Amino acid sequence: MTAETFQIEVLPVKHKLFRFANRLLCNTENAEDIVQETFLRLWSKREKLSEYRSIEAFAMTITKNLCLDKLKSKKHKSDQLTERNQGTTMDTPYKYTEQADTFNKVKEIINSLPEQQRMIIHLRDVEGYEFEEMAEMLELSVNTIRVNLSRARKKTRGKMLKAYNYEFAKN
Amino acid sequence: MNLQKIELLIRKYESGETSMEEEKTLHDFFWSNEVPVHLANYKKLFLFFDTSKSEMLKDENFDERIMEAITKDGSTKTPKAKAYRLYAVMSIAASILILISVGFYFQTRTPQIHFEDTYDNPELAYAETKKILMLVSGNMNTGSEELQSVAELENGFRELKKISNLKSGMKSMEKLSVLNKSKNLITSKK
Repeated sequence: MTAETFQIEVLPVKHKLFRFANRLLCNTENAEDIVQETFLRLWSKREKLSEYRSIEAFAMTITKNLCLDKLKSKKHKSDQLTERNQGTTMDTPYKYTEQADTFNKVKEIINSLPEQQRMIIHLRDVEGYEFEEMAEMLELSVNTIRVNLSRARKKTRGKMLKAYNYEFAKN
Repeated sequence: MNLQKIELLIRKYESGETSMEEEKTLHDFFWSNEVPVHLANYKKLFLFFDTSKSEMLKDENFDERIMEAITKDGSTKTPKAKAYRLYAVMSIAASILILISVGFYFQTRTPQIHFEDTYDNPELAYAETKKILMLVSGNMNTGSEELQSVAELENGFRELKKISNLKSGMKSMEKLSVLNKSKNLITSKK
């Protein structure tokens, strides 16, 4: 694979990789670093890339593994604490603060899910991948994905109910 | 959209059994203005999902940086090993050259250090040196003669030692205080 084809065919997947990494790490700076590392690894395996059914899925797998390694490392834990203290950054097209509040609250709920459920709900409900694609990316069975997706969605509904019923009570 | 059908789809959605098309139907429904209050939380959730998808990697130089990193790596991949070997050989050669030149420098430099004579007649120089040395030793002797008076000080100290006997004398004198006591006794009896 030439550098040019790499730039045209592989590089545009960066936004998807970034969203996925950011969902897992909750830290934009670290997420960007992970995406960069993903591309360097993809390039070093460029001779074998044609063997993969989907380069995008392979890229996601690399990003996932790098993120999970990062989450295990101690340094990340301190980074995450500082970022949380800084509060959630506004990088959404929402115009009104009320809508921004809602966005950040839902984000908080989604990000409080266990890692695996968080990955699955993100890949399905945000990125819209098929179960088979997700199975390839996450190296899990379709059944495991379906079960965990259901858990994630139900848990989210429960947390939303809790968060917004309290709000009703307050008003 | 039939509300009953939506509620059925939500249940299916939560069991993880909806197809992509059915989920698309849900997304479209929640973006519409006809969402009833009891489904408000789902509206929030689906709006969150769709808004999240527009989040981008913001670093504008990202592509440039990646392309620079990979083209640098790619173009030198084969000659890399050769270049590396050349560097190794050259660095070894350079080290040897430095060692040789440093060694050569010290070897040639050492014999260069020698004193130059400032005299023409060796006998005269010898006489002059002797004269100076005699002068120094003469002055030294007069100095040490003066120091003999310091030795006298020692005798003085020896004499002073006798003063230490004063202490024992004082102790014997203490007995005299008894006299004082008896004197007091007598005066009080009067």
